[in-house]
Amino acid sequence: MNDDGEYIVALFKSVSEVMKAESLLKGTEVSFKLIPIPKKISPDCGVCIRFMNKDRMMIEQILNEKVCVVEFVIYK
Amino acid sequence: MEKIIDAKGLSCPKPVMLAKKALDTQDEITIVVDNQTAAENVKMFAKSKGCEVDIIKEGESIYYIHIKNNRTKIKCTDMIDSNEKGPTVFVISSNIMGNGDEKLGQLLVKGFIHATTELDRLPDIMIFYNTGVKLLTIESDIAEDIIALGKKGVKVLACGTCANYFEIGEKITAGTIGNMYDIVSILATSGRIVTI
Repeated sequence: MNDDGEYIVALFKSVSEVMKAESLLKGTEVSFKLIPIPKKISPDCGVCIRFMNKDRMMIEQILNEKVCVVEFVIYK
Repeated sequence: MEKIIDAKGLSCPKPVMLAKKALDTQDEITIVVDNQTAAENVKMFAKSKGCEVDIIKEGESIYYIHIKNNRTKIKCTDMIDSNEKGPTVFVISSNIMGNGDEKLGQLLVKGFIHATTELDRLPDIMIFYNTGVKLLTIESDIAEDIIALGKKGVKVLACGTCANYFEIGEKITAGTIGNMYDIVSILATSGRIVTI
């Protein structure tokens, strides 16, 4: 994944939901990465899924109604 | 007067140990070795102590490693005796982080490697052994991060015995394959070891 440009991170209500989202996204064409939640976004301990802004719609479609995304946050 | 140490025919970690011993009493030494692994290990050791290092290769496999203390900074031998001696080594001994739930462990190790890429002070060396070597294969989600760490100057070493045992030697995409002598040599001369 390109490390330049604007990213979005998807925050989930639990680690299990992140794992579920990861398995749904694996095997698709979407480029994403599972990372610890950046400290500048939340001091909470946890993991989230990072992707390029251009893939947001596709990610939302894949995860729609299957996984509960709490929030999408812009992350540069 | 410059001291010349003949370490030809000696396997690791002996050349490193000889270099370390010589630097206790000398400011400038040349150590001669006859294999690339020994040359790299001696170089890594000397660099980690803040020394200037020049290597001249002669013929197929003779390396003259010239090591000089930088007196304007900190002496090598001072650093050897300090708490911050030697390189910082991360040891990844498993493809999961922690004991217990395997899926959680897989998730945690991804986070660990990613967070490592964002450290201000990167480890000097990362050693992967046992199931940890699986993280270096083309099928691993985090091989890309490990390759990036390699490009930033982190030396990534995969246990050759382990890669052979899991029959994944050809799939290793990140780092270089090393043997137990390399691993022991690095650990024996390291300053800090972080094991997961």
